[in-house]
Amino acid sequence: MIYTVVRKNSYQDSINLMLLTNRINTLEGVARSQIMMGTDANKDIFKNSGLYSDEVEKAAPSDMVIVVEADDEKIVDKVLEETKVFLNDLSVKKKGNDIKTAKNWDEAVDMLPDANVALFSIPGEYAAPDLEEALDRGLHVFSFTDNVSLEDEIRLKKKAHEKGLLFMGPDCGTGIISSIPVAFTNVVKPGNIGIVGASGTGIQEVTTIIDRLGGGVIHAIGTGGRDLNEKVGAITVKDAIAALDKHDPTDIIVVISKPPAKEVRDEVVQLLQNVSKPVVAIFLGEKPDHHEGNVYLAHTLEETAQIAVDLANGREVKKNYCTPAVSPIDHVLSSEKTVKGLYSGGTLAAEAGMMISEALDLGGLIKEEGYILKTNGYEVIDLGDDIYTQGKPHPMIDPEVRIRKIREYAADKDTGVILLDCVLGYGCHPDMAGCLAPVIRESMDKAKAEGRELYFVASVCGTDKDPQDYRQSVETLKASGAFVEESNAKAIRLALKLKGLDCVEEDKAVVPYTGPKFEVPEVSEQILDLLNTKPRIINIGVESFNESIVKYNGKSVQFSWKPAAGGNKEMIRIIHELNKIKEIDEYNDQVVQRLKDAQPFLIDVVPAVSVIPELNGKVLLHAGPPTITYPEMTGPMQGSCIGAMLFEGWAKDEDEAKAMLEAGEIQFIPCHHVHAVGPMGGITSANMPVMVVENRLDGTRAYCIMNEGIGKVLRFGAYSKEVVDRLTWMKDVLGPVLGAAVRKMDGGLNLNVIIAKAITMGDEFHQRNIAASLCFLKEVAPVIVSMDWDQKEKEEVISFLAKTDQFFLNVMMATGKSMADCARKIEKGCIVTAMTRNGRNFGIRISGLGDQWFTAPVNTPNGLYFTGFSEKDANPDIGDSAITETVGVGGMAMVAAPGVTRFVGAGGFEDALRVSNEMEEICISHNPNFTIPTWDFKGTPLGIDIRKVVATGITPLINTGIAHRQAGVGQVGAGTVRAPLGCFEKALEAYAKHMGI
Amino acid sequence: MLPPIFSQKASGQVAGKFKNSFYIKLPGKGRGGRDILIHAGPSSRPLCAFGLSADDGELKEILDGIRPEDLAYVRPGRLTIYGQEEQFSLDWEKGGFSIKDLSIPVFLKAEAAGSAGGILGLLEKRYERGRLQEKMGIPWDEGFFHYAGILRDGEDAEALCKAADFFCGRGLGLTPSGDDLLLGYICVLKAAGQPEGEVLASYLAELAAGKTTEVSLAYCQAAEAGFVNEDFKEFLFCAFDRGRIEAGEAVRQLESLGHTSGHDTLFGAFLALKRLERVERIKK
Repeated sequence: MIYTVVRKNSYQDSINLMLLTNRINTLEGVARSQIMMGTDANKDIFKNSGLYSDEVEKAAPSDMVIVVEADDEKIVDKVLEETKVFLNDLSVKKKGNDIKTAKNWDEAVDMLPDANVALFSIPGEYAAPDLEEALDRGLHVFSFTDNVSLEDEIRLKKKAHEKGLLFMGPDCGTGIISSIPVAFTNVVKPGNIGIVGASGTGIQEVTTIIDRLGGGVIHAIGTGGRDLNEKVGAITVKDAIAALDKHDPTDIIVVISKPPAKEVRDEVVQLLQNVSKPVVAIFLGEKPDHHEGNVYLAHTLEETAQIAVDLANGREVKKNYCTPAVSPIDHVLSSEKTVKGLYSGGTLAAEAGMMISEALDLGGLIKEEGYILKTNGYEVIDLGDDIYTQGKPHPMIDPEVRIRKIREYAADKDTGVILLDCVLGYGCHPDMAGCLAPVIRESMDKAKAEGRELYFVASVCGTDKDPQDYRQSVETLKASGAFVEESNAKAIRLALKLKGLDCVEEDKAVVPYTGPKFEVPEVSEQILDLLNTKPRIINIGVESFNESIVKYNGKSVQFSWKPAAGGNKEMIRIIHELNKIKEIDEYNDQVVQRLKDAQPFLIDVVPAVSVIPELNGKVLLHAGPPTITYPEMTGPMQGSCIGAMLFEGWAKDEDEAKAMLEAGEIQFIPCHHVHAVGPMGGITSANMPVMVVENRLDGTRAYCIMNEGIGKVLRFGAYSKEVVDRLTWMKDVLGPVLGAAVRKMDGGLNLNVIIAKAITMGDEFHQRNIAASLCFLKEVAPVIVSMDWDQKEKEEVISFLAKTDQFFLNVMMATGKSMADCARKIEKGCIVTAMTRNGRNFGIRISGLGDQWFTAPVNTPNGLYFTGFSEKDANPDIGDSAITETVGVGGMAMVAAPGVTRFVGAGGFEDALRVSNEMEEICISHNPNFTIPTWDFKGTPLGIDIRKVVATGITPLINTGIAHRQAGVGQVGAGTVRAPLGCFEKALEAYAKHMGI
Repeated sequence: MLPPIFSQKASGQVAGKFKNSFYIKLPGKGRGGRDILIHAGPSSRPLCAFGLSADDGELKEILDGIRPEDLAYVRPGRLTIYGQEEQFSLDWEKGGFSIKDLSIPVFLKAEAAGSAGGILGLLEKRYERGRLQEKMGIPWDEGFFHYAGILRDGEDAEALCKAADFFCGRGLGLTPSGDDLLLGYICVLKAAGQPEGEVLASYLAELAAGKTTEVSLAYCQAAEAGFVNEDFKEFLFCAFDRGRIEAGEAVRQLESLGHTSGHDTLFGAFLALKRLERVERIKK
């Protein structure tokens, strides 16, 4: 039975997940499992493995997908527990390693301002925008990441070249920069040899042999396997060659390549002929019969290293470096016996294929399903080929596939010799030799018992400075019975010698170069800086890559990357294109500056119709985006409509009100369209008193009805006599008294002052307003008392204000509206200027697109419920109160009000802090007017940028009351709710179109 | 004149690293395939017979950045060392280096300074007061007295060579005390133009390979080629009354060398001066 668990938005890099999968597969009761991110490519792997399910289908690229096949469902709990332990261990290692971690590019560059390299190991299908971002930020790129399209590679390399940067990769597995091993690399003594390599294990083999011969390497610049493709045109190879020519400490230049396009090869060789230093070049697959001019041409990787070391030491290059193999056995294997190679390194496999093919005249090499050679029983496999590594770790990390193939080949009676490589270095298995030794011994013993001859010949690619023990690796393999040679080429020659074949190299003489002479191109300052200093690296992807950088005194910071926009490629493209338009940031800054400069004052309380002329007639304002009709409204809003009609006297009872509403006799306008906001249902009618807040920055005014208190109130859909009576009292007493008091205050009531005070007293102004309400009371009470007014009414008003803890919510809402409506007069940029809900849809507006709404279905709040109620009673998200979050308070400032987290069921202080930190990621600034002591006096997060929302997948968190889904019941709880991502995505698409993308 | 190696290509490694100096070894680059050592020290100290000196600050930076076995390459005009973190180059063609003549001065007709205030007089006093013995790195046993006597009075080359056999490699240290004694002896005799100085120098250079430390061998080879350290050259000038500094200062400079090296060398020089006195090459 297949069981699937999806962990939403839980990104881990593929290597960690492969290692986790291996661990889970060892658990008792697990038939098999696969744990991967929910990308399209990985879904194909799930499909092909027979581990596909509906949940896998629905998973997003940033979701972790755990699929387990087991008989007993209880195993799943064990699997999840083991997963938790594994990931916790990773995070502990993360905390312990002193590497700073950034969540985005800006943070990463802030942490390492002098960064000059971006090292990528992220899924190729998402990599191109970030690879380009790195170049745009002036960073050289080292892309371990592969599966980047050829078109992107060409485009990015051209861009890098134009900017004077190096693009190393894609699929650059190995590199040494200023003696620092980068990615999967060996530790090699620094010396005067500089290498340019279009190949991972090619570089590894040459550098490690150089080290063992007493030489040293200062740089090994990987270029990726396709750089010498005719379309790419060797952009990186040529730039790297020119750079090493100018690099003073480099005395010898080595170029390592797999077979290149002829025209490109010739261009590269001409360049090499014109550099000022001796060159050794190998184009694997070619068998040169002479050296030419400046350039010594090698046949094998070993010969490449040998020539380089002789040149480095000022010795004459020998005519011939080939030493004949000496067979350790006294006979030759019989004719039906063949040689088979099982390699973890692609270039080492290619070298084996080449040498075997040449010795036996087997024709050229192939690249089919991992085979490099497959003729007449002679086979060489590159186990690092994609066909063997889909959903599995590379064979340099995990021996499982190779062990299986060894057993397969060993069981074949025609197998005479199995060739192996054992690659050491950073990133590789800690004891590969120890893993292979038992199966080598077992295979040889089995063959012997069956009366067959079977031999193993191996080489160890490493140095004594590698994290693994080189000498021990050699000894372990020898002890298992394998013949171990000092290089891959020697191992291949020995394998062939066991078959009675001698590999012979002809002497090579130096022939003068007669081709064109020209100046080697100039090298940019940035490339010279890369070669002459220790690299400062932003590591994007596999965290273990930091280890070697730090150990050898480079600098690095970790960029915790995950696919932007949940892996939605169209969104990623749009965000990337928008981010190139620098003016957008300027526009956004202008909009946010307006918010910061706001000067809201409460100046009056008046009947709504006196300031909202649209309310003339049977018109009701509602919360949320347009358009919603009465039948579409949820219970609380419908209830509020009934209550308002009864209050206005348009209907004498509930039935009449309903009949009128259902008949469409009432017109509905969104509050937002008339400079108003309304809490919950937001229903506002002509005679309801509204507070008038004026933003003195430019005179923008906004309105909101007053807070009725909690429990059975109109805004939660209650419409009993008690509710209507209260509304009437508010019209006749509260509104007039408060209005008179406010008009008596010189200039009105400065709201910035109250908000600034109250935020330091634990308010966030959506769910918690108690401090602001008290501060409000403190201001108005003396004025009320001093008024020449009916004493009883004054007492009633003061008493009402004193017991209505949430009174300031509505003041804050009007304040937010006056701030946002002023800011959105700058019709540019992509800052959110309104967020609102009508129980069906969540709507947002953004500064650059004026009055246009972008909507998506609302979510239902999560939270705590009053006794007797539960989630099944909850109404979906509703109200204009999200205007508070729009201007940076409410859920955005949760850390200011840790007390509210328990009430809304959101946890404790740490959760509050986490929420505000998260909200900070989607905003562009902070409001210095409203600083939060519990946040180290940072201002509230301000300016929600829809690009950041979509890129991070973090939507604003809103603190909200929860209404009962049925009209008339009222509030049943309080909680938090997320704005749906859909409206931000729609807004982003529309904004991109508006900006010509 | 620079040693030939300074204008060739050679590769080697950092062979030793000390508080104020380091050595580079260039295998097989010497005469007859011998290894060559290049010493690098600070310019505030006397220049070594087979080395170069750099500005004190620059040298400290190099010492902080290199380790034994780091690769080093000599190119015409330049030495580059590849530290793990940084490469260091000493460029004597472009880097403001000057050449100092450290060849052994030869005073064929001059007489060694024999007065009480001269070098011999100063050394005699130290000998009589036991100050040389107490600070040398070689015990004054029966063998010591026997072969020291030969050096002072021995007539034939064979006897002198037997003395060299005894002293070569004897004692502890980077430069064993016996070697320092022999070198002090040989160089005074070479400065005096005495043929036995040349004979013994050649003998010692061959003998020392395999019998003493690499560093000491390098000094023996330098002496054979006719070069001494800067401070010893000053001493030789003083010894033959051509001193550019005061004799006492020349003696004190040598006394401060190493742990025992300075006193070992002075005793060897003392033996040579006593020999010259015997053959009437001393001014009274």
